[in-house]
Formats: sequence, C-alpha cells, structure tokens
Amino acid sequence: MYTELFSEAHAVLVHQEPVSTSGALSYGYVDLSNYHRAVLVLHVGACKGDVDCELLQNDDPADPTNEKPIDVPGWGADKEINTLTNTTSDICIIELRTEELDVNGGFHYVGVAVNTTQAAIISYVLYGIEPRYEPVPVTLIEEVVP
Amino acid sequence: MYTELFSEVHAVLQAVEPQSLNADADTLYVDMANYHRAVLVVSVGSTSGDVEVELLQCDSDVDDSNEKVIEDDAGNEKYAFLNDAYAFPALIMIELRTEELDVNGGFHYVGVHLDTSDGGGANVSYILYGIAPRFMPVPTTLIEEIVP
Repeated sequence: MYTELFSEAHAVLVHQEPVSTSGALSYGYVDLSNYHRAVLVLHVGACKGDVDCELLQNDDPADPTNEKPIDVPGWGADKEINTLTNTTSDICIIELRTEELDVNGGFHYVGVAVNTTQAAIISYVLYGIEPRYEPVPVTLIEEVVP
Repeated sequence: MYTELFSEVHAVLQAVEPQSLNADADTLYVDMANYHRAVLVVSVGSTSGDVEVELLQCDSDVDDSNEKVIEDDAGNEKYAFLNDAYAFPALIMIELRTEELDVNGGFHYVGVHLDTSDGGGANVSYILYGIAPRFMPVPTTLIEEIVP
C-alpha cells in the first residue's frame, strides 16, 4: 500500500550487524506464524574464502537437532545461495513463502545458517513480510526516521 | 501483493558493503524518478565513536555542489545520529516519500551521507531501496543472487 511505511509492513525478525567472522555464525530460530512471507537479505563485504548461507526450518526453537532444510517441491533446491567465493561486495536475497515450510509437521520456525571458510565481514537482516497484523513490531530497530 | 517477490518490488539502488569504516563520505546520487518511496536501512556493528547518517537530495547525479537536506515544514531532516552511548549493534531506517523532495526544483536524486569519523570508526553497511516503483519488476542489477 502506498501510504504505509516500509517499517510498518516489514518486521525485522533477525538482525546480524556487520561482523568479521570466520567459521559458522551462531543462530536461533524465529516464529513465522504471523507472516505470510519472509525474505533474507545477506550483505557480504570483503572475503577471501567461501560464504554459504541457508534458511532452515524447525519445529522447536529450543532444539536445533530437529532443524531441516526447506525443500521446496518442484523447485529441486533448498533455500540456500550458491557459494560466494573471493568476493568484495555482494548482496544475496532468499525469498520464502511460509507455505513452503512443513507447517503440517509443526515447522514454523526458521533460522539463518551462515558459514565462512576464511575471515569475512558480513551482515544480514531477515524480514517478516505480508504480516497478519500491521503495523509490525519495531523492537529490533534502533531508530525509524519517518 | 501477496504473490510478488520482495526483489520484484524493492530495487537496490545503492549499497555499501559491510566494512570497518572511519570516514566522512558522501556517495553518488541515484535517481528516484521511477520510485514513489525509498527506505535506507543502515546496520551498525561495533563502534568506538559516533555514527551519523543522512539522506540528501540533489538536482544532478554527478554534481553534488547543489546538494541540500530533505526537510519537512517543521524542519525535521532525514537524519539519524547515534552517539557511542547507544547500545550497539543498531539498525536504523530512514523512510522517504519522493514528494518530500524538491521535485519542482529538479531535485529528484538522493544520496547517502555517512559519517563515522568522530571516534575510531565503526562496522557499518547500508542498502538504499527504491520501493513503490512505477514499473515492476524492478532491476536487480546490484543483487548477486536471488533464491526464489
């Protein structure tokens, strides 16, 4: 809708601030039950090695052993980017419709798994969009300038 | 619309990749003529000083001598300032309706002024999205990969 603000309709569910990292970033799971869609915007800075990123689903945010890939029937691939190698600046986007989750099995939580083989500086934001209720929470936003 | 993808209606107009930045820098201006709205999303990580960020308008994408602030009747600018007392990390959003630009004066370009030079610098990144586009789907030139 034209009159709504971006921050009223796009909930920041996960914010990974720019961080220099090597190896796997720790992550948790967020509930998507109030959103019809989500999108992950991965922003990668200087990196000599490889960067992998995948959206995973889970039925229990406290138990990572239940997590599994989001395998979309007919798509033939998981919700993961092709490996980035030796990059200086890349933006990658992973789109998700929540009907792609195994909601019948109770899998309505998602997590963001990022792994780097060498030091890299990265940031990402996972937005919940098409929300059931607007305006969405702005808890993870420090400041909104309208 | 429910069926559209985020990347079909949110154009990445400009971005600064995550980096440790200790500078007072303007970026080049981008044309907002094809977008009714824009939003600047700034992600700030560890920092040892202040972070200032502002959206500016200009009447040319190559000559910033005419740049000026974007302000409403009350004098509020499209400006955010985080001093080092804030609890970083922080995410900042600056929203823009293009009717807030001086379009009658030809000011339909916007640029980002980011200043992390007061202190020891900061880990920052930002993306400027053009939204509510005149034409869909929007260009994806600055996006390396989209997983639909």
